[in-house]
This record gives sequence, structure tokens and C-alpha cells, in this order.
Amino acid sequence: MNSWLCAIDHKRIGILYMLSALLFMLAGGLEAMVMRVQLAAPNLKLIGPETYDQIFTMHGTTMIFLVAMPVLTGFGVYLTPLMIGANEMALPRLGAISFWLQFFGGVLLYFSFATGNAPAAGWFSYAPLSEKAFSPGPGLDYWALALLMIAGSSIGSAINLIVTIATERAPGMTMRLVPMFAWMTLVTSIMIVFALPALVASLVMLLSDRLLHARFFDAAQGGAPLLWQHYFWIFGHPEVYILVLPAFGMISEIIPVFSRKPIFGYPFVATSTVAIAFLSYGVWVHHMFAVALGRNFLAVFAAASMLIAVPTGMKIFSWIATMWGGSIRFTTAMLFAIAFLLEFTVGGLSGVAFATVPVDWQVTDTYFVVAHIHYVLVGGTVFALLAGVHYWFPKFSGHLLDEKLGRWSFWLIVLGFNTTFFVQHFLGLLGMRRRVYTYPDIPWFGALNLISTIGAGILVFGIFIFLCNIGMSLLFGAKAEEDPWNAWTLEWAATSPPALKNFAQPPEVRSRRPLWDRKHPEAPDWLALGRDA
Amino acid sequence: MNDRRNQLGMALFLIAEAVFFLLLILAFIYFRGPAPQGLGLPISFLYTGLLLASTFSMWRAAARGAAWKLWVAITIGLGAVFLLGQGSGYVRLFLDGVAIRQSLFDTTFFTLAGVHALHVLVGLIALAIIPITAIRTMALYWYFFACLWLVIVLVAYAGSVV
Amino acid sequence: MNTWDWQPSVVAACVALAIGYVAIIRKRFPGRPRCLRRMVLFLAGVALLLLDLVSPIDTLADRYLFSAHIIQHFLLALVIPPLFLLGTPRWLAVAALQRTALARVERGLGQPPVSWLLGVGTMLAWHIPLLFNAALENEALHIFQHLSFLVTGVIFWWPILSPLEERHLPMLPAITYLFSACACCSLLGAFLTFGPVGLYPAYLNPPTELWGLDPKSDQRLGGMLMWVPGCFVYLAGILSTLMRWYAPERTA
Repeated sequence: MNSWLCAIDHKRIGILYMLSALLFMLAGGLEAMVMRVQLAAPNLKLIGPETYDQIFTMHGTTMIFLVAMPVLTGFGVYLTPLMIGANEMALPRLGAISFWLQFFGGVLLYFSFATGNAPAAGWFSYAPLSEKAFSPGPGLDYWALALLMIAGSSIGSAINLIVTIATERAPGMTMRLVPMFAWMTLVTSIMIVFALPALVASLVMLLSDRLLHARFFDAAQGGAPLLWQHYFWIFGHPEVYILVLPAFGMISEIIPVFSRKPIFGYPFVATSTVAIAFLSYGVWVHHMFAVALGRNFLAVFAAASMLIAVPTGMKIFSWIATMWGGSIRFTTAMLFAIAFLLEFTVGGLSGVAFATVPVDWQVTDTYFVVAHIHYVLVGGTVFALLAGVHYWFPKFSGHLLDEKLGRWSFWLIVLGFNTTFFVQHFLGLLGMRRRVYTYPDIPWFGALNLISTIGAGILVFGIFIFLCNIGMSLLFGAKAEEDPWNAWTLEWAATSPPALKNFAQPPEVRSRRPLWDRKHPEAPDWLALGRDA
Repeated sequence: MNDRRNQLGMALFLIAEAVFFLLLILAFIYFRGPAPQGLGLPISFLYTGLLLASTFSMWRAAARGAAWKLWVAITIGLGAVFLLGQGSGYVRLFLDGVAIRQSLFDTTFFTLAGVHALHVLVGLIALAIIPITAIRTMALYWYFFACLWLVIVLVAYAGSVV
Repeated sequence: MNTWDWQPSVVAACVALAIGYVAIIRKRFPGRPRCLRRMVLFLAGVALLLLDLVSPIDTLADRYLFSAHIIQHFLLALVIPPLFLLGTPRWLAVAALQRTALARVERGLGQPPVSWLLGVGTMLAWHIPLLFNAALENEALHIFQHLSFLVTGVIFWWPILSPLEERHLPMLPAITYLFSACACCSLLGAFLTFGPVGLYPAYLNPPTELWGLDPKSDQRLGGMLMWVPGCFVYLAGILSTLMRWYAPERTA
């Protein structure tokens, strides 16, 4: 027990992040199910509006800050040193502090339930609702303080990852040769360094207003509630790309291995990632289209928002081109990766729809938004994570997951997810508002909501099967060797699970697929490419 | 090698801090309002000067010569004088009724100055306990917050004069 | 709106530039030019320069719309210099730098910190109300302003787009160079977008209001044009730097 609490080994820290994320996912999932049950039929009053507000606030905050970011960080921290041929992260104690800071931030946030006063202003806590006058209880203070801790944690782990990739690469691994997951992790971490401070600034200003009676967002005193929106979304928009780029990295590792082809157009995928990173700081106003900001202003940001779909689209084509002509192995990991391509594209398309200002004016704050965000975050990030878990689980644990259970969980999750969220596009177009605890008996609202709730039940069942798969595999699963998938990147050269010292000697790296070179000495990558690394 | 890792890490941390303070400074500029009387312009420049002088002693300490501890002590001393001096000025203002709640200028300015002061305090504590191996990394931190204070002073006081 | 301002000096300079360029290329490679793409880029730059200074944009910029003036400067500093640099073949640059005077200038001004400061500094300096308004009133100063944008534009883009590859910054410094310039440009653009109206009084009372743009919307539009499209140019530079960095394997 002690060895886990005091761990600074990056593999332990990675697992801790994943376990913490799992715990908070159960909480966030419970919150989601409470909402879905409450919304299953019109005019239900199973929970009241105040409680409902707390539930959706906690659900959003939990899933983004205590589940998605930590689990992606966990994968990053676990895999990055292995993939670059290093034995440890550059700043191991910073890694440990970052984990515990995040965990205790989550505990602090959930403690607010115990005070009867969880935050209730939405995960983005707009002023002036978040000001003391309108949210007098301590809920938002818990929220802001917890998020300060979590933001600090995130910046710390990002710094750790950047320094690690900059200084710990195996000899021979130039920056051009790093695996795509490591590259995406690097770009994400740089984005975190530039985006999370905006959240910190917003929170400091909010706490000043709430606790010290400052006037940042208090319109009556000359402040500007709009400032909160700007500053929050200057953080918030890059944040959603921070949530999805590591997922892209995982997909970029999984699809090539199960198509038996190297990724198509590595330079394009790598460059388009940087394009997305930069562009993401220039589109935040599209979260504010419904605020009267002036037509020209909106037009410029609408154009930029549409533009950002281009580099993302490039990646989708690249992954498809990777599969094209390859010999596909439909493992569970690959199934989730293919599903990711489809679901994320749907989510991306609904996002581009929002970039059109008049469309946004019609559907903002409706369930169309809820559909969009869940298609990109669940259909995108979570599906990529599920693919990643099925792919790397043998490495983390030394056991193989059961493919049959994997398939069952896959189909249940896909069915459940799409049933839950696809109908929400229609609910949004029909005008159902989000963040309301119940709705009147308008034609179709009841039926579609019921379908959505049933879908949520199926999704939960699918996740349950998935968790059973993990549990049973840990207890009874077949032993995994070093390289069960016949893959090419360096993590598969370590044992399963890796020893405390990942690599007895630094591995030889002359191309992007060092293990391919090792297994195919007659046709190594670096020879085919005809240049020195 | 360790030094390179730590300094890179510190540099990245300071970039994050720069973004954070930039947003606070932009809020200050946005809410540009009339500065209250008695903000203590000349005295502030004295304390600012002392803080900037401490970058010299920090630089001498970072050279890791035989007398590095002495130079660290001087840096801590100058930093402490800065904090106490600026702080006492603000306390006087607070007693006069000028406070963070008082006006937009106060809100934005005191948040900026207060958060900066907290960082200086953390810096002083760190300087008091770090071993010689960490001195170059701490020097980066110290230079950043000294320069940042200069920027804050110029923006705040220039903003109130213009 | 149809007021084309065919200033003889501008027309003559552009035509001379175009003819001179084609002549030099022809002299070196009679018959088919070796790199058609480069010729097209350079001549596009010349055409754009001509349009920028004689088309109605010029009149709009001088007397009607701040945003039109921003477009004009934008082209002068961020679009036309890259086109000129991309259109200059390597052998021409090498030949030009044989002259010691030019070589010395290049060694001095081609240093990234210097070129960055000249490029960014010029942009920031000309938006100081005192200088901007003076240029609107004094024709000679106005010509100097436009020339300065062109010249410092070429200097700024030299470490990124120079025909001499050895003068290019390595990948990471190049990205830092462009990103920091982008940040400055954004800050200025944001300041003009959100800042007080009336910094440039010449636009407060145009002869007629065009396209429903009152002075406030006009200034905001100008700020936004500097901010967002400006960033796109720097971003294009960053992305092309990255693609160039990955190039060794693409050519193999």
C-alpha cells in the first residue's frame, strides 16, 4: 500500500491516474443516470430543480476535470517514457505531486455534496450567476478551489511531459521519429501550458469577487460579466482539443498496427496537429455567438471555426488511408478505433454546423449541443480510450483481455451510446432546452427522451461488461507476452508489465518503427527511407 | 543534466505564469479607471528599485561561487524589504478605506499586486531552503517576478497618469 | 468607388520591377524558365502591390475606412514580401549578395533578433496615433510608411523564407519567431478591436458612410482583420516550417 501512496515511478503514477479517473467516472456516470431517469418522461419530479442543477454541474465538472483529463494524463505519463526509450519521467516527484493534487482536488469538490451545497452554476459557471449575490452558498467556492488544484496539477504534469520528451529520448530518436502518441502528447502539453492559466486567472478573479468583494464580474459595480465568458472560453476552447488530441494519438498508434501498415502521411498528421493547436486559441468566441457582440466580430470567428475543421479532416483521411489496402485485424481495440472514426466525424460535423452563426442562434443551449459534445467527447475521446485500454492493457497488467467479452461490451456500448445521443440532435432541433430539470409534454419530447434514457441504460450495461472484462482478466486472464499484437513502437520491447527499470539498455532507434526494424533486419524502415535519422 | 531538466521545467512554468499575469494585466487595462490618491508613486519606485537590485544579488548567487549563500541572503533581504514596504503602503491605504472592493482600479490593481506578492513570498521561502544545485533554476523564477513587477508598475502607474 | 488612383510613380515602379525581374530570369535561362511557380509568385506579388496602391482600396484607405487601410498595410507587410521572397530564385540571391555592401547589410539585418524587431516594431510604431495620423496628413510620410512596411516586411520574412536555405532559422526557433510576432500582432489587433474609438480621428467623419460601417464598427473590423487573418499568415508560416522540417523523408 505504502509503495503506491509514495510512488514516483511513472508507471505507478499512470495507474493511479487511471484508477482515480475510474472512481470519478462512476460518480459522474451516476450523476448522468440520475439526470436521464429524471428526464425519462415529461413533468417528472423525482428530483427538484436545485438538485438537478447541482447534478449537471457536477457531472460536467467531474467528467472533464476528474475523468477525461486525468485518464489521458495517466496514459501519457505511463506510455511516454516507454515509447521514447526512457526509464523514467524527467521530473518524477513533480509527477507524483501532480497526481495527488488532482485527486485531492476531486475530493474537495465532492466534499461540497456533504455540505448540502454542491456547485450549481454549470461546469462553466457563468457570471453573474456564479457571483455571491446569486450563488450565496459555499458550493462555488469549493468548485473554484478544487479546480485551482486540478489546474495546477494539469500544468505540472504537462510540464513534466514536455521536459521528458525534450530531454529523455533514447539516442537515435530525433524529434522527427517520435511515435505519434508522443508527438500528440507533446503538443497537448504545450497547449495546456498556454490554456490552463486562463482558467486559473478566471478562478482567481471569481474568488476575488466572491470572497473579497472585488468587482471583476459585477456589472452593477462597473465590472463585466462578459469578461468571465471571454476568459473562460479562452481556456475552454483549447481545453476541448486538449481532451481530444491524446485520443488522436492513441488512434494513430492502434490503426496502423491492426492494419499492418505504417501511418499514412506522418508529416501531415503531425503538422495538422500543430495547426489545430494554434487555431484552437482563435475560435473561442464561437461559444458566445448568442451574446450581442456585433456581426463582423462573429463573422470572423465563424470563419476561423470552420477553418479548424480542415486539419481535423486531414487526420480522418489519413487514418482511413492507413487502413486502405492494409490487412485489418478486427480486435476489440480496432473495433473501437473504427467506431471512433465514425462517431467523431458525426460530432465534428455537428460542430461545424454550430460555426454557422444563424444555426448556432437556433440551437445554442438546446440538446443539439449536448448531442454534439457527447459525440466528440464520448464517441471521440472515450471510444479512443476504450481502444487504448484494450490495446495497452496487456502491457499494463501482463494479462490479456477476453476478446469475446470485449466484443459484447463493444456492441452494447456502441448501441447504447448512439441510442442515447443521436436522438438528442432531434430533441435540440425541436427546441428542448438543456440544463432544465423537466420539460412539458410537447409532442416527441417524451418519446425521444425515453429512447435516450433506455440508450443510457444499455450504455451503462456495456460499460459494466467492460469493467467485468478488466476484473476477470486481472484475476484469471491469460498471460500476455511482451508484444501480443506484433507492434512496432518501443513500449512493446519492455516486459508486460514493464520492470521498474523499463529498458536494461537504451534501445537502438533508427526509424519510427524500431521494433519493425528489429524484426525485419532485411527490410528495415530506415533503409527504405534512404536517409540518416 | 538534472539542471537542464529543472531549468526547462521552470521556464515552462514561467510561461504559464506569464499567460496568467497577462490576462490579469489585460483585465486591468480594460477596466482602466482613475487611480485613487495616495497610491504612493515615489515610494513604490524605491521598493521597485530594491526588487530590481535583488536580481543582481540573485545573479551573483547563481554563479555558485564560494559566497553564494551570502548573495542568497542579500536577495532574501531585499525581497523581504520590498514585500514589507509595499505591503505597509497598501495597509495604510486599506485603513483609509481604499480596498479591493472599492473601485474597479482597486479590484484589478490589488489582485495583480497581491498575487504577485504571494509569488514573491513563495520565492523567498524557496530561496531560504534550496540547496546550491537548485539555485540556477530559482534564479529564473526570481528574474521573472522582478521583471513582472516592473511591468505591473509601469502599466499601473503609467495607466493612471496617462 | 470606381476611383482608381493611377499614380505614375507607382505604376512605373511596378512595371519596372516586373520587366526587370523577367529580363533577369530570361537572361540566365533563355527559353522556358526553370521554375514557373516562382515566376508566378513574384509577378503575383507585383500585381498585388500595384492593385494595393492604385485600386479603390487606396482611396478607401486614405479617406473612408480604417479597415480598408488595415487591409492595405496587411498586404504590404504580410503578403507581398513573402511573395517576393518566394519568387526569388536562389542563384539570383547569391549573385546579388556577391556585392560586399549588400552582403554586409544582409549579415546585419538578417540576424533574427534584428529582423524580428524591425518587422514587429514597424507594425507597432505606425499604429501609434501620432504617427498614423501624421502619415494620413503628409503624403511624403505616407509614401515612407508604405515603403517601410514593404522593406521591413522583406527583412522580417528573410529568416523564414529567404531563397538561401542556410539563412533559414531551425524549426523550433522559427516557430518561436513567428509565434511571438503573431502574439504581438494579436495584441495590437485585440486592442484596436476592444479599445476606445477615435484613436484615428480622420475616420470619424468620412465623406459618406459605406456598407453600414460606422466609425466604431469600422475600427473594430480593422482590429479584427489585423488580428485573425494576420494570425493565419503567421500560422501558415509555422505550418510550412514544419512541413519543410519533415521534408527530408518526403523527397527520399
